[in-house]
Parts: sequence; C-alpha cells; structure tokens
Amino acid sequence: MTKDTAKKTSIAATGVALAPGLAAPAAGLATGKYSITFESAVGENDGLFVRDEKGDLVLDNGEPIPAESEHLMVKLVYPGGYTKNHQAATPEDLVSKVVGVLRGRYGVPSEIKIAALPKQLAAGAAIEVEV
Amino acid sequence: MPSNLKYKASLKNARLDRITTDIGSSGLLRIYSGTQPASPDASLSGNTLLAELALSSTFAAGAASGVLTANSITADSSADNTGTAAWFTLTTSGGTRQVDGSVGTSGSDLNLNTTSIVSGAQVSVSSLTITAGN
Repeated sequence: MTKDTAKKTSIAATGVALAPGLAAPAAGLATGKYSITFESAVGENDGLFVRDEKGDLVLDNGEPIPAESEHLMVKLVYPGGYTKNHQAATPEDLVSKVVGVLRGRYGVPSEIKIAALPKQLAAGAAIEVEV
Repeated sequence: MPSNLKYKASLKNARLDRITTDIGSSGLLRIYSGTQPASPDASLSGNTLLAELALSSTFAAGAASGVLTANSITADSSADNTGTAAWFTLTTSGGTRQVDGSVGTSGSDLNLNTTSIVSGAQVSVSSLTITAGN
C-alpha cells in the first residue's frame, strides 16, 4: 500500500436562488388585520450550551460561553400556522422580513401596514399587520 | 503503512441514520453569509441568516449502501436578507446545528446557481445526499 485511500464523508446538494418576484406565492391572504405572534425568541447560539443553576449559559464543563449570541432567533407564527425563524437584534429588524414573507409566501400585492410592533423580542409578543 | 480503515456497510448506514435521529422532527436548513464556524459546536459570529428552508418531518429515509438521501426540502419563499451565501447548516427544529457545509456554485457541499441571495426572493434546494466515507 503506497497511498492513503481514506475517503471522507461528503455532502452533495443542489439548489436555486431566484431573483425577486419570480416564484409563485404558496398561499393567499385576504384583506384584513392579522396578528403574527412570537412563538419563541432565543439566542442564536443557545443550542450549543447548557444553563447552570443560576440560569446562565455555560459550556458543558461549566466554563463561560466563548461568545454571546449577537442576535436572537425569533420564531414567528404567520396566518394559517406557517412558522419561520428570523434573525433579529431588535423588533425593527423584523419589519422587512415580515413584509417579505407576506409578499413572497402569501402574495400580498397591496400596501402592508405595520399597525403595532412590540417593544421587545420576547415569546408571546405579536406584530399586528394590515394588508 | 498508511491508514486503510474500512467500515462495514451496516455500520456506515447506522452512522448516517444517526444524523436523521439527531436532526429530529421537522429540522431546518439555514443558509448564512460570513465565515463558516469551525464546527457545528462552535458559535455563530458575524453570520447573517439569508434563508431558512424546512426539512421534511423526517429528514431522510434509512441510509442505503452508505448514502443518506434527504426527503423533500421546502423552499424559502422569501429570503430574509441580501448577501453572499457561504455556508449552510442542518439543524433541529429548535435551531441546534448538527451538520455544517460549504455553499458555492460548484465543488461545494451545497451548490446553488448563484451565491447571491436577494432579500424577498425564493431559495430552494432540490436534492441533498450524504455519502459515508470508507
């Protein structure tokens, strides 16, 4: 044997990123008021760590985590029960993302008004929209 | 003498199936810009989430002949941000990363037609397989 024949595990995946407006909406939405609720809001790195007895995030060996999460992952529940996580640091960060979902997934062509935006990113909060 | 390690086929399949087990029900495929972390155990830092696609309720059927083939992946009908896709991750439904890989247009783990993701546009992944090593 003169050479290493080791073959690594590999992934082969293919996909497409379209330009805006080229995909048909997946669902419809009638004109009206809708509440988009926050199912959860957790640090984007929280899943890597455990919480100590004080509730602080630590490594498995109890040491402080090496990097705090820069953003929260906010799981929003849209009309019809569709859910999607968005990376956000403030509630304002969510506005363009919510509008994007309402247009891209629900095909809302008209004006989208953000009627109410919560002050904090926390589970149980909601964004009120009018379409 | 160099390494010549070989695994039994059933063991390779079992290792691949563990991925499906660890992703659990209704996992996610997230595409990020920025530098790929050293491993799925390393923190995100300076990474922007561009798109999030939903995996099937069961990520994949049982591996066969050392290949794990993902069930259908639902497109993200509205990308969250505009940016250059650099890497992706397969996560649990709660967002805990299990497998990270590169994104490019050829020769990467996930090859897209373009790495330029535009906010509000659709991003889809049509196929994904994981092949065991030796």
